[in-house]
Order: sequence, then structure tokens, then C-alpha cells
Amino acid sequence: MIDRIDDVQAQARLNRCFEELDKDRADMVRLAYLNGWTRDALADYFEQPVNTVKTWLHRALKQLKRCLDS
Amino acid sequence: MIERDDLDMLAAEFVLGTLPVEDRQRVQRLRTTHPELDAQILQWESRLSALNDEIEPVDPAPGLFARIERSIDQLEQASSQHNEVVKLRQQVSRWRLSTAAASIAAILLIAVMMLEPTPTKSPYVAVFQHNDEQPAFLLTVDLARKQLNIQPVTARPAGNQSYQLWIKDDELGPTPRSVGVLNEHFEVDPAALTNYDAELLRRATFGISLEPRGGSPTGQPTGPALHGFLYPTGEGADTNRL
Repeated sequence: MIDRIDDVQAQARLNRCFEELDKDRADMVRLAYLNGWTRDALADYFEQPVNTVKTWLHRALKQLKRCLDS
Repeated sequence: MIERDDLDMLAAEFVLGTLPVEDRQRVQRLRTTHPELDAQILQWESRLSALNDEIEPVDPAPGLFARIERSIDQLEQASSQHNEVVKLRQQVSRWRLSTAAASIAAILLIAVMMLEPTPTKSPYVAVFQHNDEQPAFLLTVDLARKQLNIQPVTARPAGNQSYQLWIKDDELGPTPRSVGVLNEHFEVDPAALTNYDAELLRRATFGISLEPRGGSPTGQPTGPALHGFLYPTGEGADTNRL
């Protein structure tokens, strides 16, 4: 039960942090993590060069980390 | 020298699953000797784990695990050494990634693995996947006896169509050569590879295509595009191809 409450809290916190991201970048992280998309697949979908995808991912991840660790 | 920040992004993308295959394998190796990197990976797993709650659980197809177990049991019997199957289990994530990276809209994907450092005695295992996810077929080739054995894992009967097994190697010319058409029990003549030498089999690519009943009418795959890759996975393999 306690575990379950912790899970819900963790999810709510993560969702809040995702909401702070630009929508595209939040989608990118979700597609990678949940759907297993590669950088190449993300680059195709978002019509961006792979290096831009990498930069976006890094910015999104750093922002998430700041938000979650704060 | 890798900056701490870069290392953290490496860990983050490792967990996210977006690292290129070579980088991913490097990180996988490095984490065993670099506790800091390992700790960062664990932290990212923890940070992102709540995303998993967004996924609705889906029950696997009935009998799927039984089929996988059965296939692994058969593999174990086919293998002269138990540890080959253990290695196969360890390789699963590796070939998944490798094939995912290399796939070009293939409906059936193939990874071929060599499981033993003494290749002339060991079987090859080819894993034929649907959509990067679940293995459709497992193919073992005993190089010493040139015997092949194919087992369905998630493959379904093809109705009015037939599955056909192909081999491709530069020495055989520019196009794949048919090994045989699988019968309704997904069997193919175990001696179908007898005429190929072990060296060729070791580097060849195997493929399975879905063809009209009885096999391709043209002598070439007419079904979905097929790609196959050879992965030496015995000792020292990390320093070679992977």
C-alpha cells in the first residue's frame, strides 16, 4: 500500500516535470522511453537532424533532472 | 576525458534507450568498472521509472512463454554445452538493439549469432523477429554436422502462404539462394545446408520470407525485404564486431 502511494506520488511529480517541458521535447522523451524509438526514428518523425534530436533530448533530460531533484 | 555532465547524459540516454548501438555496448561494459557511471544509470532508471505506470499492462498471447521455454529447451538439447544457451539469454538485448538499428522497414528481422569461441564445433543461432519485438523463429545450425533446425516461437501458421528460408553470401552470387520451404509444422530438411562449407555458413546471412504456398515462384524472395547480420558472440567478441 505504501509502495503504491509512493508510486502515485512519483508519477505525479514526473508528470509535473514533463509539463514544464516543451511539448515536442516531452513527446520525444516519452517516445524514446516507452516506444523504444531511436534517435533516427525521432529525427524522421520530428523532421530534425539527428544532432538536433540529441541536443533536444539532452536539454529535456537535464531539465527533467533539475525538476525532479529539486 | 569525459566530463561529468557528459557522463550523466550518457547514463540518461542509456536508460532512455536512444544511444547508438556501439555507444550502448560501450556503456554496458564501462558500468561494470566505473561505479560512478553505474550509479548515474541507476539514478536515471529511478527518475524515469514512473513513466512505466503510463503503460497499460497487456497479457501476452496464451502459450507464448511455454513456446519460448520449449524452444530454449530444444536449443539446450541441440547444444553440446549448456552455457551456450546461457550466452544466448545474455545476448538477447544485444541482438535486439543491433537489429533495431540496422533494420530498414523489414517485417521479418534476422540476427545470426555464433555462440562459441570454437566455431567449427558450435551451432549458430539465428533469431528471426517480428517488428523488433518477439522472436518469430529460432534457427540453429550445427556447423560440424551441417545440420539445421528451425523452431517457431511466435510465428503463426501462414494460412495459404509458406515461409521460406534463404541463405545469402557473396560467394553464392548477388541474390539469396533458397534453403527450403518450411512445411506446415515449420520444418525444413535438416540436411539442407550439407553442401555449404562451414566457413561460408559462419559468415552467411539467413532470411525467412513469406511466400505463396509451396515457395517463391521466381526463385527469389517475393515477400517482405529481409536483412540478416552475423554476430560473433563468443569470447573476445566484444573487441571484434560488437
